[in-house]
Amino acid sequence: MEPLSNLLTGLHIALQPLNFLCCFIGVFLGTLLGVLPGIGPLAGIALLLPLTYGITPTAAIILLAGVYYGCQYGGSTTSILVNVPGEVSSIVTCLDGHQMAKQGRAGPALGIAAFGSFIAGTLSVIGLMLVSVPIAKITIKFGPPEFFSVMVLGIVMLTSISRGSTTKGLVMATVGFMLSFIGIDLVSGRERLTFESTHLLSGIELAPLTIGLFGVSEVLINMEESVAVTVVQLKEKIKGYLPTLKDWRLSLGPILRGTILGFITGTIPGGGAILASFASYAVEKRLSKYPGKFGTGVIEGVAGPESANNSATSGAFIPLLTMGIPSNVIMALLLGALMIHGVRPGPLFLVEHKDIFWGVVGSMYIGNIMLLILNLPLIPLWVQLLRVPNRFLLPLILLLCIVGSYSVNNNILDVLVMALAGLAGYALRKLDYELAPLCLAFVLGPIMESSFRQSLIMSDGSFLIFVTRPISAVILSLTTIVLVLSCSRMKISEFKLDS
Amino acid sequence: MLVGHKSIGIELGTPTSPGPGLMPFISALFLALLALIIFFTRSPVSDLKGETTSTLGVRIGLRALAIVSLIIGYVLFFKVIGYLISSFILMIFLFRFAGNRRWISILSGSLLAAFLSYLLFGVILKLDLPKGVLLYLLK
Repeated sequence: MEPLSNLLTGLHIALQPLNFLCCFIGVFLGTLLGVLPGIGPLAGIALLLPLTYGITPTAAIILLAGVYYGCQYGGSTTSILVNVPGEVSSIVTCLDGHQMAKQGRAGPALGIAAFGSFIAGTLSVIGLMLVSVPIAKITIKFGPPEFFSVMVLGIVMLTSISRGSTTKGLVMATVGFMLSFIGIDLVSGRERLTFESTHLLSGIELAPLTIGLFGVSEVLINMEESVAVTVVQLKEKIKGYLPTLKDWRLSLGPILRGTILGFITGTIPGGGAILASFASYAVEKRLSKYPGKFGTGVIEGVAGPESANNSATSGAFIPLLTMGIPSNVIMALLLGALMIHGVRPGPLFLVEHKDIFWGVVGSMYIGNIMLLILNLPLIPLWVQLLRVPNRFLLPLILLLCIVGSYSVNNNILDVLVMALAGLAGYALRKLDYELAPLCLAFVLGPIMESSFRQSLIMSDGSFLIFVTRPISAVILSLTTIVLVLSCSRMKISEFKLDS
Repeated sequence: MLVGHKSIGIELGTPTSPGPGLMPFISALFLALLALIIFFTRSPVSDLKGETTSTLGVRIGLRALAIVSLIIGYVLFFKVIGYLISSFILMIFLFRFAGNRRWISILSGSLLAAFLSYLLFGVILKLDLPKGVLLYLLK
């Protein structure tokens, strides 16, 4: 009965006017960002981060979480209608969704994407509710060495699934750590890597850095690669969003499998919505009686991945809220937002900040209902929005990036940090360096450093503490396996390329 | 190397009492090791593709450089000429760089963007946006 009473408390918190408004704004903006090709949840959350400084931590997380799962809903619209994924996790939806639209079945495709997302979103929130408390009880036994090891595992997992080589991913993570060390060391009070600049004494702000790395670099890249949007289907009125009984019969299995798969993938460090949607598509294709038809407009190819990417967003909250460890870079930004408000997620989070946890869970239920109500009737509006040319949209986004960075401290130098981070992000993406490990390491840097130093103090200076404690040793062994596997995978692909 | 050198200057401490320079020093060493791995494991294939050897300068688009230089210029003049005028000028360049050809749409778009963003952030959200020279003109 305890989860139920907690859920009621959560719903009560989520229905408070400010939280309800933030939930609505979050899911609405999330859908909008998901619809627009090129601007994903990362850039959107980075852009909205400064706006959350003036509100309560509960409202801030409700807003940013809304953007995250709202994006997953919105991404499918562009994938289905114009064959351009609005969001990376909707890439696979293009394969069958757009084919369905070409056959005049855009309505059922959009409908099943929305209903599938709703079912998956709701079920995964139940999963989040039931799993979080036992996990928090286990992680309460973790000490600094275990936390340090889990964070190392998270970063290694993220670098191993990143585009490009693992070595480049590790380089980015190390640069992220270095950037996080800039400023005054909280233990000794000494300046670090400030190069005698007073502006760097308080370190580099998370918001300008991420707005630059993800928002500005995205705009710079989009300015040179104008997305050619074919609007063949958009000229026709989309009818019949409700899937038929046959559609439901075919989709129910993929939706449920996608929900479970997405939820598990979301909890894995380095996983998330992208991995979940690809994994679900592969599973559905393998289980299908007609795998050869996948890619020709099969509804299971829409229902599974769309459910999986939505379910993954709830799963991703488990490591963040129970251990204080973000499983992906979006969760790292949410962690940053919580830390700015002085809230540090971890094993005691569910006890110390019960209101935030259950408020976010409650808002997810409400947000999923909002999305279902909003999504289908608003499709004509999203379609109109897709007609706004990039040549108008991109400069406006850049202006928002500038104001967003300035608003953090009313300091114009933050805009300079944003601009330089934007140029660096643009150049690094061109050179195939993934930015996500940098951002994750930047957020985790201070926590990892304090865990590392505490571990050494605990062990009287022995580095062996990380391998002599059983849980830490298991996690580090897993990290080594992941690293070796990803390096060998890299070597094999290089060898194939050579021959 | 620079970070490594600076870390030693900060104080590395001892394993029993780690100093503030220890983690930056370890990170610098690790980065140097990764740089060596990348340097020695460059494959001829990737050289041919030009993916890893092409210099930064060649691959960075001139447009991107110009936009970032514009933002840096904006930062320099922001306080002096104020948000409205500096944003209006910046938007003219940005709309032009984004591929707009008609001056009437560039000018009207820039004016609208600067004015509406001021209204939203400066007036409604009460963000402290500098008025710059406009303050003196209004006085």
